Amino acid sequence: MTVQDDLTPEEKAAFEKLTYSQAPPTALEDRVVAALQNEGLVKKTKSMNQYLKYAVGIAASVALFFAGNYMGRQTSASIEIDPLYGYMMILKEDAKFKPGDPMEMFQEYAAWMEGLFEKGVQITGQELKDNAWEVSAAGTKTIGSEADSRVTGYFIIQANTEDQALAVVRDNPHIKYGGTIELKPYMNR
Amino acid sequence: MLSDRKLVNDFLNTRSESAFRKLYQDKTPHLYQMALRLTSFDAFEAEELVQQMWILAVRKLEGFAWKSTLKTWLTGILINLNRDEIRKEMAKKKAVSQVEMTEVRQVSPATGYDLEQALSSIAIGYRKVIILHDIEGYQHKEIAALLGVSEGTSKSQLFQARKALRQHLTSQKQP
Repeated sequence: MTVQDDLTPEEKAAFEKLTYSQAPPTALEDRVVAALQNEGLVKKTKSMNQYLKYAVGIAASVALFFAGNYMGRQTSASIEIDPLYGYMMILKEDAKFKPGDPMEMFQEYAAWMEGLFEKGVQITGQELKDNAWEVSAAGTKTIGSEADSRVTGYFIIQANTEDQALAVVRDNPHIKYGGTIELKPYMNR
Repeated sequence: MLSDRKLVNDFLNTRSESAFRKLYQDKTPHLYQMALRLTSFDAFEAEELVQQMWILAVRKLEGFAWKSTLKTWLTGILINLNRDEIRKEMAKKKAVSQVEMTEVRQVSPATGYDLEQALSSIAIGYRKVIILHDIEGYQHKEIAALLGVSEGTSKSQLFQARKALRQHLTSQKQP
């Protein structure tokens, strides 16, 4: 028997079959980023996407906070609410959206929400995740966080008139930061 | 897919977390697998190795002259860090792996798992040269540069490494 230097075709095939199937754990990425930030090698800044999520997250959490605080309380200037119609505010963000200082945004959203409850406008909302699916006869398309324009949250408001609902939308801080809001009436059935 | 230069420049121009994450996500899967092989599939050690590699790489990235590919450069850092780690361990254990000089025959590993197992069992110096040459496809000239040895040493190491690997696979097959 001899010892050969070259790989046999069988040995070559065996090496080629070795795969790279074991993906790095997802937590490793965060650990590496944190280590680099601690060393001052990567800026401790949130990515734009994180800011976008943060902005709508603020709105949703403020909404829930005030909803809890104001539940069952009499407001000084209650409005008539049309029982037939509600309005959906659809918050959209694209490259023009530039979030400001998080603390300042929080205060602005809080003031906006407080103003609504003081007026007696009923509101609730949720932040929407980045990922989405667009389903059509052509198939199912995955829409990720890199999409040019994203729907990042919604609010449902109860108001008496369309003008009241539009006034609520115009005062929303989302507009000030470059976002857009679509207002859609719907009928309560 | 973004080019390596764009990934690096985007990061160096901004030092932002998002730019780094893109660079990390592009390069780490391959390097992590190599780290696993270098550490005999010790996930903890492999993660440590990858983390240290990125810290060192980001420190030196501005000085990277693109004389090799980014992958080769990162591989070099990974291998050097692994060598330093092994030196520390060797100093502690004073254990040296010796390959018995017995005759061996070529064998065909039944599965990739057998081959990975055999690879994990041979001495780290031999393992490195097999990973680089037979799995990653580097030439002896590149391996010599990565390992800081001569081309002749790389060739003889590969010869001995293959012999050790075959010997291990042979012993696994014997009842």
